[in-house]
Amino acid sequence: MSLSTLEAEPLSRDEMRRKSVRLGTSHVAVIYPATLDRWFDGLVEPRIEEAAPAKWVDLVAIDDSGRFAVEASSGEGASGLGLGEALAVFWERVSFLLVHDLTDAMALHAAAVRRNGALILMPGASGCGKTRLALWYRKHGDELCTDEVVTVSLTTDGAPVLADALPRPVLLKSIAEASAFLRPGEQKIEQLVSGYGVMLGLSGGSSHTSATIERCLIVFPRFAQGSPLILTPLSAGETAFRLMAHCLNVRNLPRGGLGFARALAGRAQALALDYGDTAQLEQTLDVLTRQSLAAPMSEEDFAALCAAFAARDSLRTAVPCPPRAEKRPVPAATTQRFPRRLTVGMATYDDYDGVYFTIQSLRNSNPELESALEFVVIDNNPGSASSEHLANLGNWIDGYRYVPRGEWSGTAMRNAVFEEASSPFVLCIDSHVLIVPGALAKLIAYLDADPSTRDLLQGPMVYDDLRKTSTHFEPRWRAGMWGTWADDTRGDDPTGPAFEIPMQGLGLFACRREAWPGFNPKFRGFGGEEGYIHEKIRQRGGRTLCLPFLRWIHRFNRPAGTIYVNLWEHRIRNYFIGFTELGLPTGEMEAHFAELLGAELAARIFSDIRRELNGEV
Amino acid sequence: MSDNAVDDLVPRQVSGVETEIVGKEVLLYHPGQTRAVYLNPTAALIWGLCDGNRPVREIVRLIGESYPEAGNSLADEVLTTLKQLRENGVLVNA
Repeated sequence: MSLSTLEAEPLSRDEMRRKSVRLGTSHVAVIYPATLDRWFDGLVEPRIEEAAPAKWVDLVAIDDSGRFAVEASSGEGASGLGLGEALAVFWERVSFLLVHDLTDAMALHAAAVRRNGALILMPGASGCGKTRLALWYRKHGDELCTDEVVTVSLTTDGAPVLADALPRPVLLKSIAEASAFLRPGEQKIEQLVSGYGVMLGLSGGSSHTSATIERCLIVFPRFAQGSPLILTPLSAGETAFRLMAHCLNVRNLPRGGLGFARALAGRAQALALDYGDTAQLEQTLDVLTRQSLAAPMSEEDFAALCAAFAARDSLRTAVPCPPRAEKRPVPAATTQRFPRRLTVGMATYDDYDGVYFTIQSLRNSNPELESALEFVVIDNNPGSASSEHLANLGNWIDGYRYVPRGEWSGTAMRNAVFEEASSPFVLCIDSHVLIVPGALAKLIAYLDADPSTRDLLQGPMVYDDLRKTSTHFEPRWRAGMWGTWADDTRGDDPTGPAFEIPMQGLGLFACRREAWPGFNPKFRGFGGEEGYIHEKIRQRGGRTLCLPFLRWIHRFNRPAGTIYVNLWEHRIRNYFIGFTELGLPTGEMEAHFAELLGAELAARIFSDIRRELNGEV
Repeated sequence: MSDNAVDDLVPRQVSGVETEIVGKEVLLYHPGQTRAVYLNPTAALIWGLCDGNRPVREIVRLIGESYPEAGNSLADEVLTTLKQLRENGVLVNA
């Protein structure tokens, strides 16, 4: 790799090139000094002959001092410019003239790259990070079309076509990082620094051929140094709206380009990308891009992938653990036990608010059960700011037990709920779950009627609109999880009978204490428990039942972020341990994670897990 | 303006505003202002009810029937949406 910075050279005003720059059906006549050929080769075409060009831009040397002037058929001229400024102004004028009267295509302020016939479009205003993102894709092998303007037309049957892409030297706003965007081993890169940024002459140049857009990912980037990675999936309507916001020739298009925007949005999956460093995009956006372009994906799957990768990044940057508050004294565990009809238990990690409202809403909604319930709260971060308050809840809540358990954290800590429970039946819930009024009494009645049950009892999860429900998980891999939310109409009627389901999210489940099979004690961190525990119940002669009355609401959002460490490695490790314990094949799981994370990373993770389980590390 | 006065207003879509329906969402384009407006499904429903005949109170009632769980905050949300549509120049009072 080599970088060279050009100094302006003395030029003869006689040696000028007369060329054209074309964008779709629009063209601009240009003139520039022959000594600057290396900045124009591959970007301009032979001059389209016309008596008096309607649109033109001239870049000329003023004298032998290395200063330049730019004049154009429209807009003010600029003079006394260094070469970097002159080229930047020249291409700005050219871009404007190419699109300002374009009527047969939508001109988008966007970067674009191609991958095996698919299109990755990056619309955005100047300085939003689209060039940086396009160069990151290029570094990973994609073909750069442009970092500035594309045009989209429609076929007679309304299909969107990437009509053209503006060729121009790449202009990076940030000077410091230009060399970081070169491909491995890339040679003969030229670089010009000016007040407009860094202009790069890249080997291979840019290229484009018009083609119908069959597969497309649209990324609306927003770069801010130090920003966390946020991937926000966009609906088709939101995408079309954002496309219109970055349309450069709205006034020229019928209906303001609504038809173009809708057609393009309808062919693409789209997301808003906030990022602060291209390192965040490794194993996140590259995987998401590969998945999105490989095969059509439902909006739900796409949203799940975005969420999974954003969570992964935020947690990756948090490892090893976010700064911890000063440790405080760990309150003593409640020694008194409360053997009652049902123990409601939860493990929590710094979620005092969740615990408080979950328990108080249960008590408030079910006053008749005051003496029938024991509450067990497992504090999985004892000594935190929440601990004392969690312990003090016992001063006001009858039947409340506080148990600090901080030797390790993770999903298997819910075993401790069953270990500490004193009642014959245990309802284990997340510390941010609400249960509909009356459901607990019905659950107790159900358990009283079947006191020797070996079943795992669950219920429909109700979404925040209080209408939609998910009664179970369909057993298939998606976005790094075994199981996909699904709804069975048998769960619609809360008075309906129980029915068997393959698996369900574990925000709420009930089991006879003595029948609880337990999570594998080797589980660490979060993830991997759904499906595993259901199969374990089945292998012991039980079933997983959906009780339609046992409806629960789960708080998914964490605006303040998650505090605990959550890693792909933990999740995959738990799945692997669980599947191995139960004698289930791991091939499908390994293939899924290889596709999701890339074969190399997945292979490394599985190799590490096998070595650990074989006692090699 | 009093609440009663607001309730009696009859909002009407500005003529010439282009509409594009995208699933349950709607995009509007105001040619005179070269401005696009995005309506989420709820706002799209409100927009559709602004036919120049229904007063605001009727629109609030109809939206309330569609979202019975929304409760008392619904009227404020409808009024806010109508205000935003007016501010974007796509809605006027009949």
